[in-house]
Amino acid sequence: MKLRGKLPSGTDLFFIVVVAILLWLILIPLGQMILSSFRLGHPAAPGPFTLKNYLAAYTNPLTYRMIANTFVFATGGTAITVFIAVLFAWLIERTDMPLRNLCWSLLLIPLAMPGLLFSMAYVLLFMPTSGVINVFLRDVLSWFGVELSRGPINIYSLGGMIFLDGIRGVTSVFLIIVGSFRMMDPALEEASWAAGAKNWTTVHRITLPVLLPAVLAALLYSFVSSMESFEAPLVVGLPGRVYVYSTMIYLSTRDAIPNYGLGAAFAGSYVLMALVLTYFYQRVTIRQAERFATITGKGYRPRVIELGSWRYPALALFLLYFLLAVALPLGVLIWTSLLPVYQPPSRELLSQMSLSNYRFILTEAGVLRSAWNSLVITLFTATATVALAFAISWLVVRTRVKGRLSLDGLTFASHAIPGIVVGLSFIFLYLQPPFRYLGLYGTVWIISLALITQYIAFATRTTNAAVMQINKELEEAGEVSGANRVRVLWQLTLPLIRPAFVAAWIWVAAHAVRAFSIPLLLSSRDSRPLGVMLWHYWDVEGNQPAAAALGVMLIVLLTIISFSGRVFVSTARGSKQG
Amino acid sequence: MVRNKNKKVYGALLLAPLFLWTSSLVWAQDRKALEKIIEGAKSEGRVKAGGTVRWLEGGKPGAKKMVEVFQARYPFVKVEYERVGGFREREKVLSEMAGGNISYDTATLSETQVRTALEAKVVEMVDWRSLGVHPQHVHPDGFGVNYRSQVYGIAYNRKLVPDKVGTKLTWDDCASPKWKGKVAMDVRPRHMEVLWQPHVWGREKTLAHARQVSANQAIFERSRDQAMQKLNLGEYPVLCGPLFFTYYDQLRSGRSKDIGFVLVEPIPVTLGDVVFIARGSKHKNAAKLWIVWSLSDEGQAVLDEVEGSGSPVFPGTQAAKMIKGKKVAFYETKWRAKSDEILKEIIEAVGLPVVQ
Repeated sequence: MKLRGKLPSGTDLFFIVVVAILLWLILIPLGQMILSSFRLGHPAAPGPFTLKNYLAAYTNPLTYRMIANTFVFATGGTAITVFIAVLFAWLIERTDMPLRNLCWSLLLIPLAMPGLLFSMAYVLLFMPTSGVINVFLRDVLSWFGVELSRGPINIYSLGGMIFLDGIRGVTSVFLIIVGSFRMMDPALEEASWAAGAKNWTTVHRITLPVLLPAVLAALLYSFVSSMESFEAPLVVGLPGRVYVYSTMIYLSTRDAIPNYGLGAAFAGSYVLMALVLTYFYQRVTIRQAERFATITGKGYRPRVIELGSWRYPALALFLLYFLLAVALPLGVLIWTSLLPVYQPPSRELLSQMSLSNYRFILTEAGVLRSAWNSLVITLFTATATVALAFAISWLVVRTRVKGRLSLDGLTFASHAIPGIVVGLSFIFLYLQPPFRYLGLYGTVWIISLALITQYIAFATRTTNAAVMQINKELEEAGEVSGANRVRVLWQLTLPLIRPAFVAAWIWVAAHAVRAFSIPLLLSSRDSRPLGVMLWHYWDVEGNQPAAAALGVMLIVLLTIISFSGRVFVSTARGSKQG
Repeated sequence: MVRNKNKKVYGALLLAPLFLWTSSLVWAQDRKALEKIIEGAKSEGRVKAGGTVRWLEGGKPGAKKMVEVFQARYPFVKVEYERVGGFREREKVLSEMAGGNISYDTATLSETQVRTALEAKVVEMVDWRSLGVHPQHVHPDGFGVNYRSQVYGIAYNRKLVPDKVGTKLTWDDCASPKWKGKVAMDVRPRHMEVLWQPHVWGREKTLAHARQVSANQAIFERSRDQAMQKLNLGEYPVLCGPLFFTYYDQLRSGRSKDIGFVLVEPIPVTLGDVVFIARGSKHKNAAKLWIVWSLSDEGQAVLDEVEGSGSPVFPGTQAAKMIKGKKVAFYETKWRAKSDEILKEIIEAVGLPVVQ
């Protein structure tokens, strides 16, 4: 660290403060969790040091089944997600499939459906005996003389989990790779066509290999996301006794007989695996960035591939996906929300339909309190995350302070900590002295801090890129004109990066409002947000119609927010370019 | 023979005043202690209570009625009631208190959380006997009271299992290959804890039963209410070990016409859920008054009406009537104190993850 005489400079002091904040958010909770993995008992009254947790965790055959499940789940989910996302990116960006612009917009809607709600809806659709689709399929099969009393599909299975995860992840992966499809250099493809190759041969031999780095990055992103996935394993995995890492950690703290140390012992290997994957992801994305940097510089548009007679089947395929990802789950939630008790659709039930669940939700004090909590958590998390990200980016990109690259590395490494582990580590930290005396446990603030820890890595990627784009000479000119650094930052740099700041803010806010695993572990009755309230109605109260009504309202709200955010970002970008 | 009889009568006549005198002393002492907390409650004026009863049970007043009846008797105490249902909710409340956040003056714990609560020093020690609480309801660790009955049985879907079969279900059926993959159970099969006691089934038989349940591919549910609803929907035909009051909730709401409930001997019965006063509570007297009232004849009658969980210690409750003349397995205090260890063994035997 550069020192002026004996006193550190303002930048050095700022660096120290930012590092301290990151240590407080990332390393100290993680360290406390690792320490606690060697102790028995409740975090508030820890027992003596022991290796029992590790022995119990890693000598139990169930653990290895759980690890295998996690890998099968993540691999299967990733395969489905990436296949569909790549296919749609290609269809929408490179072919003449009808209604491509509409399909692009429709693909954003699944983002407005929280993962928890999506899984709940699929339980209602595919419960072995009373699920809507299963009832329908049994009726169809009975026409052919096949009589079944259950099924034929069982959602409470590893297959069910993979399906849900696969469908759910499509939008995120699509957004990651769609740019690469749009901006790829058509020269090689055109050469292939000129040489007489057919469309399929060109796609297979040219398009996909050229896009391989982007697809690989998407694969790794999707795999890490699936490994961390919590909602589908919780809602459909636990009843089917299919355990993965995230649910094992949750089970060890909230189910049967809680054993927090055991959860911490599981978390250790979980984080290690995620770290390795994140490392590869980072390497692949850097390589991809280098490779595509030369490609995206030119202003061209690749040739549109004519699908011929496959145009409408391609659209039908998209509509089938939309049916599975949005229409069916939303439909069953609306149906359930109108009934006093969930039952499969029938004509007799039409007389029982009413809006009473919506009335109940809108007048329930707990729901209103949750809505307020969600608002506070979202606003605080998004603002604090982006502010911290900007501070980190400024230190990393704009200063030469020693240790800045380690700061960047530490920030990015936090991406490897799954949400459930962040939640668990915060429990350990804030239930033991000295942090216990802060009185943060059970408040909305501890949830926000944990969410900042989870989202800071993404936010810094956005702000790093934004700060890099600003020519340093502008800031230097400001300083030469007599403005101090703070004024330059406030009046020059910040206005220039505002669109990136807003985009990162919206991304964090959209994720914070849907966050589930962290609030589930850390919220109290007074601080629970809407996602946890939803789970409360579903799991604790066993009131599926109320959960469905709340879910439908949440989807409507999130759809409005998502599209407003998109319009806002587009407008901001437009005005900047203008 | 006649002389002996006379001796007994004379003896009884002599002892009766002594009994009445000592009883009146105890009653006067109880009365005095109670009056003291009433005075304290008057000055506190309110209590924040977290209980297991829903505000509305089966669409009808549940805790709402309890609060109304209590406030009619003690109008000077305003009760702010919230439900703390299920052990996951209780675990949260316990952690919050350990983290210094006292949300409730009085709340509820599961038996398996008692040790943690004592170690984390989040509960207030109270001499409940001096306040007139029935000794059987006072928790052996001395800080709380068990305020309701938990009577376990077997529930079945009457569409899938005819009554003539359902009413004859036994605990063995829960592990019988005949019902393979068709029996559901709570992830904390607490009825087995009661059967585990040496004077009932004993450890070996219970664990063998649990292993057979596992081999029989039992479906484990994390919410008793959800399990009952899924049973109603026909997701499985048999639910082993639900509590009577979960069934009663369905019955009261009119949703359970397709559910049958059978008590199976030995009938596992516990006085469950520990109500306590939080250390650091600002309304200790009002909280004590609320708890003492909930264990009075009036409180238990209301609890029995709204939730069907009145204690069998109080004559006239549904539990008392149901188990009368039947072979009952009470969960004894000395075994209840080890409930977390017993439950660990059972959970492991049924194939769910747990640390030893």
